[in-house]
Amino acid sequence: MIDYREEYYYRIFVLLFIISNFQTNRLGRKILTIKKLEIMYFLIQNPLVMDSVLRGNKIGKLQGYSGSLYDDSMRRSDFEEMNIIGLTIPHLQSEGIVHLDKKDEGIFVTCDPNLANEINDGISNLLSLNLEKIRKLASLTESKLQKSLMGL
Amino acid sequence: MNSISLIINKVIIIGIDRDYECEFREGLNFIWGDMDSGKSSILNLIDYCLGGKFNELDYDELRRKGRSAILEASFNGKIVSFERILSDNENIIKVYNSEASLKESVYPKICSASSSGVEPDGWISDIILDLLSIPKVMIKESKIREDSNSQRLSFRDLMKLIYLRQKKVASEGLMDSNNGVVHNKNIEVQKFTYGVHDDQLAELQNELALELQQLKTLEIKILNIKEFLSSTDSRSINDDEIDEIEVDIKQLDAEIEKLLIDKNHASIISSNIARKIEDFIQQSVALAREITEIKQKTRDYSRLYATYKHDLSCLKSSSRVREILGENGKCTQRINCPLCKSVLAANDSTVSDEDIRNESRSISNRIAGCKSSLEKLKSTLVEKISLKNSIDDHVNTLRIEFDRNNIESLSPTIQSIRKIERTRSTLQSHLSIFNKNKRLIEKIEEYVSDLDRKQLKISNIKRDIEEVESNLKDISDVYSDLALYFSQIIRKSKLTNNYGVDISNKFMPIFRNREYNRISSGGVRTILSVSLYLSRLIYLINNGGYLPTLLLIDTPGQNIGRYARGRDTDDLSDPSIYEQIYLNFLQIQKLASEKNKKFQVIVVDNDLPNCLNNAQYHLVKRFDKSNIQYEKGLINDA
Repeated sequence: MIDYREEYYYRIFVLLFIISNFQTNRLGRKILTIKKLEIMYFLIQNPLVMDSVLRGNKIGKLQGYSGSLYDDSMRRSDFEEMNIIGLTIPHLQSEGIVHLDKKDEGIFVTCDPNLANEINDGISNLLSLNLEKIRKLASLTESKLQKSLMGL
Repeated sequence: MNSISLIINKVIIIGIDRDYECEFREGLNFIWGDMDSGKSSILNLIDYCLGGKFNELDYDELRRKGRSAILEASFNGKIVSFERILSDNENIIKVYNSEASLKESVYPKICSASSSGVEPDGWISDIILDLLSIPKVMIKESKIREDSNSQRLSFRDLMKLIYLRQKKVASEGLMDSNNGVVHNKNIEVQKFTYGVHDDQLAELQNELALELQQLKTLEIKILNIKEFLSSTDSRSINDDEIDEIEVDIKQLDAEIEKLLIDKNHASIISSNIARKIEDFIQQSVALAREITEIKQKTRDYSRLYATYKHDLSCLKSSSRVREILGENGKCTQRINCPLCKSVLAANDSTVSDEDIRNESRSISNRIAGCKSSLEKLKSTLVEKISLKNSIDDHVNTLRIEFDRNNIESLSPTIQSIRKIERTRSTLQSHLSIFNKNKRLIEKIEEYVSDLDRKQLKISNIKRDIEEVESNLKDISDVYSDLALYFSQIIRKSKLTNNYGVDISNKFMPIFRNREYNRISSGGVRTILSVSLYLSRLIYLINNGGYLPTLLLIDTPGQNIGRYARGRDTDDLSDPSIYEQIYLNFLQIQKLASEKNKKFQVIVVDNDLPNCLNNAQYHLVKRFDKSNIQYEKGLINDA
């Protein structure tokens, strides 16, 4: 049985969903660092951890999640051991879909903002229902988000 | 009756350094000597060897020097020797059927001095009585009291009639007259010795005492039961009352039986309800189990459904990206390294577009199937829950019904049964008491019947006793003979106011019409007490009897002056009276000679009257501490 969560194009979809939706704040300032991208990716792929972080930041609870037969035993600490980006970002970068903008604060990932419309047509109900909450989470600073993930 | 002879031949004291011996002869024997020279001890030694007590031997020299005593005597002609160690604790007497000098060649009988001893050859008294051919009869303690105890005749009883101790001469306690029980027994013993008492009579009297004792016990038992019944107000028991209680108990039993049936019926109803409740509870439990299983299944299907939905979403997202990337963008996961121009290969799994389409269709079908199953499960679950709720409601209804049934039917029945059982228990208790009292009344009747039988038996025994007594020698003849011999002696005694002489029916002297113990003069009592013993010996020589013709008298001249004073020249002076005592001994010797009867008199005194001729008596010992011609005492080397 294939775990479709790990399928290569699905992973690209999730990354593009994060980049296209959360690359800038309301002021249009780039906020999505590589690290933040990785954290958001980890949270979206592990809804139980996402729910916990949302609650920890008093954003609310994750709505519409029903357990599946897939392994959902990932914990916050598993994040450090994962290779999330892999070849996906270089691939997307080589295709000109994403851009890496190196600044003093870090490397920011961006893409065509219009891509969000196309991407959001294919998101799951879970992401659709909780989009605004996830957005609030993504607007947190990288350090804040990392601390939240660590449970601090 | 025949005369019985007991002649003391010799007494030997086995001492530490040497032996001391006294020889006696048939007839008159005198032991004459100073005071405290051991004269009385010779008589006491005779008594000790025949079963007497050691504490009578208070002669210090004897206690110091003597170790054992041997007595050789002739019993109706048969010579027997007795040996006993001189000790306070010594209870063994060895009996040799031989002369003392030959005792070493004879194996002795080992006897005990007291009746309580357990020596192999029994009690010395029995041996002596056998040697004297005197029957071992039972002697009543009192002739007057019908219920008095009887004891076996002992030689110790006879010894009192043979041996007049120094302290008994002129004593107020002559013949134990100061001890009613012993005195009465002495009277009965004397009757026996004179032949007015026989074995059959003794046995009958013993039986009478026993029967009277049993009669008294029966009377006490009857009285006790009557008192008990009176105290419980149950002297009379009405049989109708018992029957009535028994009928009541039977009726109560029937009532209990009926109630038990009702109770069982009520129990059956309750049991049915209880069974139904139990069945429904089991159904409810089974349904609960099914509901749990359905819920679990629903959860599993839901997860599967969610998984399929997720997979479909992933596939949809993957397709979407593929569309965005276009054909060119869907590289073969080989990327030129931006740093070194080399090609990098990704290991992530990919699904072909065709597979995505097929898989999407397949998953959609599965989602539809899953959805259908979930709906069915939900429907079943609702149905089961509804059924379970219905059963639970029914169980509650049945429980209420069960409780109501118990309260309305069963509990009152049980309470009624308990109440009736309590009543029955009370009646049963009354019945037990009535039956017990009835048995007690029956017991009284039984005892009364026993009592009648016992009284009849007692009257028969009394009649037998009267018959036996009528066949015995007339006791008045004995009293008459004894009184005659006694008055003859007293008449010659030279006592003044010599009148009213007789022997009482207690075998005691009467002088001046006064009982012995009412005579105050010690000298007169001396004459009376010695004369009593002499008259008894005369009777035995004349008439025979169950008493040896032996007399041991210690100091017969007590309280009587022995030496003439200047003015005492007449016949009534003390020395003259003293001499008369000894002349009486000579008279007895003459009588025995005439009757050809064996007899022996051993007299101990401090002096001897001048009227005696040496040839008329045997001088056993003469102790004189001031004259070396004579021994100074029994133990002459102390």
